Amino acid sequence: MIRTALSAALALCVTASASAQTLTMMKAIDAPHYDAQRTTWGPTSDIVNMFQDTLVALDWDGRTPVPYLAKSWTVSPDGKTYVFKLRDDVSFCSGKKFTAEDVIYSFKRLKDPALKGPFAWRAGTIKELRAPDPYTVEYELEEPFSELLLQLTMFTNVIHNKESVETLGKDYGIKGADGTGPWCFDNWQPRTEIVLKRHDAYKWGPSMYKNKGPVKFEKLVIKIVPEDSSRVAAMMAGQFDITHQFPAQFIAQAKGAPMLTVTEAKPNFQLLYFGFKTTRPMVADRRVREAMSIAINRAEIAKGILLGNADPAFTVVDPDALDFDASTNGVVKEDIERAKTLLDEAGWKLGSDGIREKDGVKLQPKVYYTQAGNTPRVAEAIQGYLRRIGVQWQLQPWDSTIAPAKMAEQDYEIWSVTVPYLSAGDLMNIYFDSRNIPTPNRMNWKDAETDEWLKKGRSALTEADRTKYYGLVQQKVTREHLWIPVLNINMHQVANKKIAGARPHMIYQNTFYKGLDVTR
Amino acid sequence: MGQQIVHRLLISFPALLGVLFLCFCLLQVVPADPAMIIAGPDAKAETIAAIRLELGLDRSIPIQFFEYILRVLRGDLGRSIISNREVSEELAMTIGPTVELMLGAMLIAVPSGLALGTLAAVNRGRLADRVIMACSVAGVSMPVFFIGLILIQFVGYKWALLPFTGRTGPIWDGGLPSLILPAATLGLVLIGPIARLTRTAVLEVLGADFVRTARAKGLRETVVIIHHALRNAMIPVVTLIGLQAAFLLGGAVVTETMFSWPGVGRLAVGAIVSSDFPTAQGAIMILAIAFLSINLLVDVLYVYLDPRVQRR
Repeated sequence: MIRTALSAALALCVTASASAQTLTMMKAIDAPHYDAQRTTWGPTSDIVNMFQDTLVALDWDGRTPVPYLAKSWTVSPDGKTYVFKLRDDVSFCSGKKFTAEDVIYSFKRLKDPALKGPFAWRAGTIKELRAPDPYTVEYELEEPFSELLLQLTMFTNVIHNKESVETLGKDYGIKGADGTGPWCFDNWQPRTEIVLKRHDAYKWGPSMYKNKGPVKFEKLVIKIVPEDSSRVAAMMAGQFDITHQFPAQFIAQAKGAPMLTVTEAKPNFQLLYFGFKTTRPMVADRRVREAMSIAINRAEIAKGILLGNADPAFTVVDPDALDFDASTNGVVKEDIERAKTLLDEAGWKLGSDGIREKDGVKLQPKVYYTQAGNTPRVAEAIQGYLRRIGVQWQLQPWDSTIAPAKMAEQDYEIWSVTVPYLSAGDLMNIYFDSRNIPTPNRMNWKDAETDEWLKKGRSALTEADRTKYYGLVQQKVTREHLWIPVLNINMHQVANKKIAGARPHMIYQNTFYKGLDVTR
Repeated sequence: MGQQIVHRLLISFPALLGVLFLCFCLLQVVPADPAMIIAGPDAKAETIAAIRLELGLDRSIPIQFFEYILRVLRGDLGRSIISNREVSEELAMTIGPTVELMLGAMLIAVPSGLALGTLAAVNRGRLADRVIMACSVAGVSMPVFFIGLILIQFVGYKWALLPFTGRTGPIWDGGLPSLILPAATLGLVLIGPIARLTRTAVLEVLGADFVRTARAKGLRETVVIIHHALRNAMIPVVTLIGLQAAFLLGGAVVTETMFSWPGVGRLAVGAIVSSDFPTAQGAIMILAIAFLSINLLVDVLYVYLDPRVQRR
């Protein structure tokens, strides 16, 4: 009898200790796979950052690259050659030593046309990669890329183990993936959970973390819980330790819950905007675009729809982002009377039904967006504001899996996307370069001056020049009202009070990043 | 009987092929582009075009279908074009949880529905009958997500009795607690229809000559009800249970989503909306096979319940 009781007590202790060693996290959606070089999806990036590392890490300020797998670097005067000195004490989860060969392999794979890496451009136009010794990499570019270090912090540029890639073949990023990160890929059940385990040898955490490694938990179990109300109830019931995908409408409730801690990621660059397809006659006139942009009330939308979990956006780039141009402040001034005047000047006259028309065409632009998150309600609110100036938005929401295909068809005037970005240059280069027409430059914005400034910004050899040229682009696209910037979306991390040291990072949406300081 | 089973199996094969072809065609109508989904929202047009080419999505639908069928006949269900994982592996991971959920729900719904329906029939017009029928109507009318939310709110969250976020493992390996709430959600929804149909069927049988004869022989009322009335009333009820069981295999998507249950339903719907043809086809094929098998089982049960069926 006594022996049975003792055995039961021991079993309970073992179970409790096991759960204390496991950190549990919830996510709303799973990724299609975890091969970082083959996708642009945020759900992939979050997990990849946990088990694989980049040459440089991004500091909490969201703009400063700090040493990581590369302990130092130098840049040639022409800005074309970077020499990275690598750490010599790094190993993969498999035990293999990390060397320059892994860096060279990773970037060659990324640039291999057969891989079709959609974010390969983030590594710059590589001319040649050399390894003069096992811990030095010479990274030579065809042309200078002023944001290379910043871009190298992105998940696309993590370092892979050639053996792991080749052994797993098509199952790479599905059944496994080796990495040098603080966590190791253990197993993944799609749409259910991904399990990572501690990388015991890890001791190369970036300077931004107090703990350089290893992490304080044996396992990290990330469950996919798609239903909003289930995630809320599960956090409230203490069934999980942490989530970065707590529904915005329940954040106030979480803040008031005695068992939860809510932390906002600061800074966080994530813009909800509506873009104009400038090649469509209805929105080709700058005055029409401006009228729509200034006829809405962003503060009301932020408060009424996002319940204060977003800030009104009056500029395309967040004022805290690298290379933000302060002169773009004040270009978008909400003024309903001016909006009406602009439409009058553009020749759009009010019809008997209250909708403006010109040459027999009603001002009823088609608006495409994804039926997910906050966008539908924001679009409906804007539709209401614009009726006051005689504009009737025809809203067309699409399922998130269909939206990209429908947007590629080009048969609409306006679309909406919520976009995470790293810096002004990052955002400008992706969306406003004419080489990116029709996607992601859905405005079909083809402007020689913009292209020239982007090129000069990219190849700038000094910070001042880079800021100057990216500033010029921001001024132009803001004055042209190519987008209606609406909201800078806040990102929250909700954690159980027992969890300490968890700080949300802004890099590419919903991210735990390395989680080195997290303890219970 | 054996001949009947062979006959049913033979006509099942063209039915299965037809289902697959129809689904294949319908999937082409969904305006999603898997290449875009693979590449992500900000991928450039040339990247997307290259992926389409590699996936063979530029070929005609009949050719794609023909190649698919040839692969299936070789036992190769292909790889998911979104995750690149073997479809057979994806299915293997989801069938177990789905069957578990279906059996759990039926275990709750069938005995309860039969008992309540019989009780209502025996007490026709009395308070018990009215209460049971009112509850049945409420159960039928309440959407499954409402019942799920109530269970999550009270049993999962307020009273913290059971987990409600995902399957923690097979039932023989500590997974039973995680199964209870999703199974109860589905089970509660099914009790109503089973109880109502059982009541109607038992009422019909209770007036039959053989029941009167059984009573005249002096048998106890419970024996009369269970052995004579209920058994003879079971044919329509078994049909309903069979249909519901088959539906649960693929149609429990809402419950699976609410409870993060990794079932075939979620797999199939996810694959359909992302135009992941091989996965969607694999899931549909499995569901079609399950549907046909359950129908076959129901036919066999008819014979057991009423031997006159075989003679006919």
